Formats: sequence, C-alpha cells, structure tokens
Amino acid sequence: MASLSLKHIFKVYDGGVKAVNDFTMDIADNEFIVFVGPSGCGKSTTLRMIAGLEDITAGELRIDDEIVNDYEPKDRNIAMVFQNYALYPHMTVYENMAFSLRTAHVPNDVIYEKVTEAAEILGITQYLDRKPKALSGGQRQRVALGRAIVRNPKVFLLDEPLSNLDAKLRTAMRAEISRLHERLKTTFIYVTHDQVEAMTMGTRIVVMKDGYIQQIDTPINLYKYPDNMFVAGFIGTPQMNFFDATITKNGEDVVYKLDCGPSIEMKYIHTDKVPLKYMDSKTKVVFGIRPDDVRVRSNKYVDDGMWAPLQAVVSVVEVLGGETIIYANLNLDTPDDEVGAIIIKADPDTFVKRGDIIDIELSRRKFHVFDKTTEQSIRKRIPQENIIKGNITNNTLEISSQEFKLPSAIKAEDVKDTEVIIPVSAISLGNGVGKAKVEWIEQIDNIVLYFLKVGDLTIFAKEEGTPRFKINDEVSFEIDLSQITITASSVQPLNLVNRLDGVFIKEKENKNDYNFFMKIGEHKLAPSNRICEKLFACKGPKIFNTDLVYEFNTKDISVLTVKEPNKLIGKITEVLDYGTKKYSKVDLSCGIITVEYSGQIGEEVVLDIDVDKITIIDKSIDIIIV
Amino acid sequence: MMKKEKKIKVKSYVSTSPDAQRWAEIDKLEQSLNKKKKKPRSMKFWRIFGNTTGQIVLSILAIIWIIPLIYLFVQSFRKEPGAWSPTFFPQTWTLDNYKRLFTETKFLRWYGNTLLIAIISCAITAIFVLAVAYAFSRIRFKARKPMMNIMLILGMFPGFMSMSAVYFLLKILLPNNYQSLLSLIIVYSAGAALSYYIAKGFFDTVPKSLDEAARIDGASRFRTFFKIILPLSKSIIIYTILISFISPWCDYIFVSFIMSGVPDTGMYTVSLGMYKWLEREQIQQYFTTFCAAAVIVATPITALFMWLQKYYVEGVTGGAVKG
Repeated sequence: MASLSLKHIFKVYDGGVKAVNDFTMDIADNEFIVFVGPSGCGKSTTLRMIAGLEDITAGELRIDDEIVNDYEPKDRNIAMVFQNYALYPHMTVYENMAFSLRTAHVPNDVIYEKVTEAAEILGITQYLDRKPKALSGGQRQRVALGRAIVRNPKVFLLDEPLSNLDAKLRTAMRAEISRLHERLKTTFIYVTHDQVEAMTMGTRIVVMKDGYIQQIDTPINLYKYPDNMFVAGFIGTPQMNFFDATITKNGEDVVYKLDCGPSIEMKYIHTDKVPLKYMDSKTKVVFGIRPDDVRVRSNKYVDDGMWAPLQAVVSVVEVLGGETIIYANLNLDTPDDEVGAIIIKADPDTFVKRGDIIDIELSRRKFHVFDKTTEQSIRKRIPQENIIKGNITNNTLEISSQEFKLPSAIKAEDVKDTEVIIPVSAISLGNGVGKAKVEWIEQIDNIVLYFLKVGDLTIFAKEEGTPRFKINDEVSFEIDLSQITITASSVQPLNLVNRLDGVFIKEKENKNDYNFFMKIGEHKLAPSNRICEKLFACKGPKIFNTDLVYEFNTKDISVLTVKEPNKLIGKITEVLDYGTKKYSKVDLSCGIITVEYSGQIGEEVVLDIDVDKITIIDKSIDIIIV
Repeated sequence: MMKKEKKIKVKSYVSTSPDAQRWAEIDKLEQSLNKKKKKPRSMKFWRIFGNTTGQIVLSILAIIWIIPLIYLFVQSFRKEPGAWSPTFFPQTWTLDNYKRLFTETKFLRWYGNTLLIAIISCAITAIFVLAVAYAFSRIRFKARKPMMNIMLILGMFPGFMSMSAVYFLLKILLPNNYQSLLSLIIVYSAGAALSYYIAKGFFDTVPKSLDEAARIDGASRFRTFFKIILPLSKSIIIYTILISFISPWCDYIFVSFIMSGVPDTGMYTVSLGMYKWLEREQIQQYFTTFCAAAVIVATPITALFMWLQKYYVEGVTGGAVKG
C-alpha cells in the first residue's frame, strides 16, 4: 500500500560502468509494474536499488513520499522474492516464513497466526514442517512468496521469480501471482526477461535496454504504439517484421517503396502522422508491421482502403494447431533470404507449403514507421513536431498561403520551400492569426490531438483535457515563434535551458566552519542545504575535485535591482524580441545565458537564480546529481 | 552423419531391389554393429586391469605405512626393558608401561596441558578463521584484494621462520611469564586467520542471495552469520576445528623453543616431554613408556577423525537453490 517515486536514478559502478541511466518513474499505489528487457539492461539493478541491496549513485527514491535512499532494506518496508528462492535450507518452511518476524521480536502467537494465514493463502499449510529440500520448485516458490507476505510489506519486489520453473508451472504460477496481487492490494514490482510474463501480468511495463528506459506504458499501448524499434521488436511474438524503405508522396497518394522490391500503396490519410520530411523518396525509414496485421488472401482482392495487396513466397510453415505461422519473403526470388523476410500469423485453416506464392494483405492502419538512424518511431501516437515546408519572404513565414510575421529576434533570409519545424506544443488554439479547419480529433488519455487542415497541410496541435472544438470547426491558432526551427536560414529555437560549467568549493569561515559555494566562473552562488546533502551523498569529499555542469531554466532566473553578494552579475549582449515576450542574452564572462528581461545592450544586471530548481550534472560521467 | 547416410542407402534399396538383397543389406548393417560391440569389452578389461594394479600398489603402500604404527603399538606392551628389541612382537606382554606412565611420570600433567592449549586455541582459531573467511567472502571493501593476497603469501612461509621474532614479541607482551601455557595459546591462535582460504572458498559456494534475503528480513550481519550461514557450514566448521586442534596437539618446534630451559617439567606439553625420553641417557629406560604414551596421544585424534569423517562429504546447500 504505497506509492513509489524514482527521480533521476543512476547506478555507476566503481569501474565507471553505468548500469542504470536516469531512471525516472512514478508508481502509484496498488500497481503491478514489470521491468522487462534483455539481460544486462539494468532491470535487476534498479530493483535491487529499490530493495536497498545496492547503493543508489545519484537520484532520489521515495516510498510514500519519504526519501529512503539511505534506509536499510528492513526499514523500507519492502519484501523481495529472489530468482533462486533463497530459502534457508536448514530451517523448516514455518521457520523460513517466521524468520523476519523473529528478527523483529514479534511474539510467538502472532507469528503463528501470520504464518498460518500466509500458508493458507498459498496452499502450503501441509508442508509447514518440511525442509525446503523436500519441496518441489513450485512449492519452494510459494514458500518464498509466503516469506514475503508475512512481513506485510508496502512493496513487493520480485526478481525473475519464475525463471527457474518449467514452462507449465510457470504459466500456473503466473496466474497465481496475479491473483495474489489482486488479493493483497499492494504495489508489486516484477522483473523479468520474458515479454509474455510482462504482457500478461503488468498494469504498466517498463522496457529497458542498456540501462536506459525505452518506454513506460500499459501492455496494450506498448504493443500498439511502440516508441522505437527496440520496443517494437521486443514486445510481441512472433516479432514484428521490419523492412527498410523510402516514402514517396504524390498528392494524396503515398507509396512505401521497400528495399527488397515491392511497394505498399496508401493514401496520405493513412500515414499523416509521419512528418513530411520523410516523404522525399530519399530518406531511409524502417517500415514495421506485426505478423497479426498481415493476412493471407484466398479470394479476389477488393480495395476497401484498409488493406494493401502484396505477394510473398513461402519458406517455412509452422502449424501450431490454433494458428499457423508462415515464414515467407516478399522478394519472390529469394524465399530464404534475411532481407524481405516476413512472418505471417495466419488462420489455422490456411494450407500452404514451401515454395508457394501467396497473396497477402498488409494493414494500412496498424503499421509502424521508424527513422532508420535514430530507430525512433516517426509515426508516434502524439507527434512531437510538425515538420513542414514553408516560404520566407520579407521576414514573414508563409505556410500554405497563411502568413506569420516573424519577430525581430528571428532574422531569416528569403527562401522558398524550406523545412520548418514547429513543435506540437508550440501551437495554441483559440486565437491568433492562423486559420485552420479541424479535420480530425483524437483523445489519447488526457490529451486531445487535433488534426488541423491548413491549406493542403495537416498540422497537429494538442491540448490537455477534453476537446473544445468539433470536427469541421474553423479555428484560429497561433505559433510560438521562439520555438520554431527554419533549416535553411539556421533559425534555432530559443534555448530556455542554460548550461554553465562550474565546480563546488568550500571556504573556511572560521576554525571549524566552512561555507560552501557553487562556483561558476568567477561567480559564487550559495547552495541550499538540500543541494549540499545530495552532493556529499553522491560524491563524498571528491565533490570538490569534480567538474560540474549547472543547468537552470530561464523562468527560474529573476533580475534584481540592487547588487547583492553571491549572485550572478553580467552584461547584456543581445536583446531578443519575440513580440509578446522579450529576452536578453547576458554575458557572464564564463558563458552566455538567456534571461526573460528587456534591457539595454551593455546594461549590467544582477541575476538571482532559484537554487532549488537548479540541476547539477557530473560532467565526467554525465549523471544528474541534483 | 553415418546413420543418415545408411538410412538413405537402405531407402533407395527398398524402392529398387528384391527382398534377398534387402536382407543382405540388413545383415551387413548387423555385422558392422557387432564389430562395434567388441570395443566396450576391451574397455572393461582395461578398467579391471587398471583397478587391480592400482589396488595392489595402494595395498603395498598401506602395509609399508602401517608397519611402524603396529610396531609402536605392540612395543607399548613389551615387558623387556631397553630401546631395541630383537623381535617385532614382544616376548612377554604387559600393561606395566601404561601403569608406569600414569604413576611414575608427569605424563598426565603434560596431557592436560596439551589438551588445554589445543582446546582453547582451537576455539579461538575456529572463530577467527570463520569470521575472516566470511568477511572476505561477503563484504566488499577497498583493502580486500590486497589483504587477501598478503595473507595468502604470508601463510605460505613456514611458521617456525618467525620463531625468534615470536620469542621476543612474547617477552615484550608477557614480560613475567613468557614461558607459559598462555604464551603457547597466543602463539597457536594469533596467526590463525592466515588459513582463511579454504573456509572462504566454502562460503563463496553458499548463495549470496541467502544473505540478501536475511538482510531484507531485517537480520544484521552478525545474526545472518550465526543463524543462516554457520548452520549451513557444518562441514567447514568441523574441518577448521580439526585442523586447528591438530596443530597445537602435535606441535614440537614452538614448544621446544619457547619452553627451552624451563626447569619445571610440569609446564611441558606431551610432545616436548616425550621427546626428552628419547634423549640418549633416557631412551633405554623410557622407550616402551614412550610407545605407550604415543598410543594414548594418538587415540583422541584418531577417534575424532573417525567420528567426524562423514561431514567432509555431506552436501550442505541442498534445497537452498534449485538443484
């Protein structure tokens, strides 16, 4: 019965190996969280850090709003089940389950009550006086669960508890653990490398790879909307089919030309979430489709808009009874080649054999597109950016014959047909100079995604809450021009995050007292107690020899009117006018930062930074300390 | 590979040839199989031959080893005096030697001394070794590797190399009675931790997750060690106790060095006292008594070994992890 919060958790081993990178997640009460990933991805390390068996290098772990980084495992009120059960072999089942209570000096009758109750839940009452040696694998696993239950913990941690069991028992125990979660109404965190376990048990799944979180979402969302190729390939069996491809747009027609030969024809409406810049017939993308979303056609093809026809040559057929898995190739000349290989989950009544050429259909709705180099999805559920083409004339941005006057801070040369990137979050609806028609609305959890038709372009905008507009409404919109990128004239979004190199120093005040300062160039800032504690907890006395990076948001900087000690002082070098908001660039002689302030060039300003909002990064190993 | 090829051959035969040829083919196959069967027979022969030879050699060695022991044992019952006897078995049998041992000599006193030293230093040593081994096996600290290496290397030097240093150290430590049983106990138990290696190797095989489970269950390191790890380590505890009992029990070098020149023979241990009997002036008088004493000294250790033997082979972690 507890919520957990992990904030920027890092684990760095002595040799400098980073096992866990920036793990940030909030876990609500009564959730069943599954960490899944290939071996060595840091999932067990994260679990052990939550348990307290490993130190947390940097970051903040809270259980029920209490920071528990430095708590002993027993004080964290957690229980853990190990992969090899870790039962005490010389004790009976009863003593195994009672050990933690005995350590806590619980009276004997209470122990008896609790152990028998737990044994009843798990159905191991008749084995209580046996030694673990005399139990089967499944029974031992139950004892291990029982040992956890008697402690009545806030959080259950399970480290691959089923991987030592055989396949049949594993399925049975899977259901049993799910039932146990229902019954105990406690937060469960479960580590596994088996995606089936993850999909069947978790309320939310954390997919990890190489110490980084790849995606956190519900099982069905992970399956339907993977963020990147790794998640797409990891979740789901058989694995998703990937094909290298290029995309060509011709009016309303879009063609995915696969490198292995065939092309998939679609309408723009099927693929409108893919940014236009990928539809230039050159940029390499990866087209992905799940075996479930491919079907074998037996009758004549009728184009209902939902399915794209293709042909494939069969390589191997696996008849599983309930379904038939067909391994085929889209390149009809090379049935056994890696390139062009496609796996199809077909109806059990499909009778095909090796060498057959079959007609297949690919779903035009349920497919995925990834950037070839970054491997990130470019057909995200909620797009991050609108990447469109526009013209610039006379410092005016023209998108689909709508004009947006660029503020004086943006100096763009006249150019035609240039790439303009507008973050989805930079578009606000309701008022402004832009006019658009709402083409479609999607409600995704708490976010409303609008498809806006601007001329012949589709632009995305998002809002929180419920839809304010209806389909076909005419809306006006505004673009936050400080956030746009114009590739041709090297206009970059205004950087509102300032990064400055610095160190942490101590100065002797008198015999026994030291003052600590965050030193940035020649400037000194007084840190809060919280910052000092965290820096020392992470690095110890080495902190004074560590190169740090101080990062702070522009909105956390305020300009003071009078000079005060231990503040940043600098000269304004540039004033940026974005119409509604004005910013100044301030030279601190050790770096330039952006401040939301309208001043004169050359003016000296005193800046106050909200130190509690500062982020401190260890420069050499790149971990966030505060 | 071979099997596959044969199968294919037979198959092609079936489809094209009459029955007689098929039978011939099957015969051929059988013959080739029979040829193979001969091999195991010769293997069996070699195995029996090897075993027999080994047994014979070992038996001869065993006889050679046991002869002095038997000689010692029977000589302890010899009635005729003197160090040398013309016959292997005594001409007249008697228990007088044992009687004399307990009535006329200080043997009982020496025996008590030795037992006291051995038991105390054995207890201290066992605790030292097990604790050090557990710490090295479980706790990760910076000096762990260097300390382990240094201890291993130091342990390789024979202990008596440090004899004179030990003598002076004892003189500093116990200026008034450095020639006492206490100083012997210190000598035997102080360096005990150097032989942590076998116990550490054992603790390494006890799954670490047991410690972690205990830690999550709220047990301190101390409690984990005594309640979880030690009960699982019976065999290594017994091994440690045996080894640390034997070394002071049988040691002669340190005793003779530290106790040299002590006028009070009541402070001696058995090995020192008995050695005195073998000196030129005494051997004629005491040889048969020496044999009797040797039998009595050997008895407890032999008994101990026989009793605790089974623990050497007992598996201890059964049921802790899947297996």
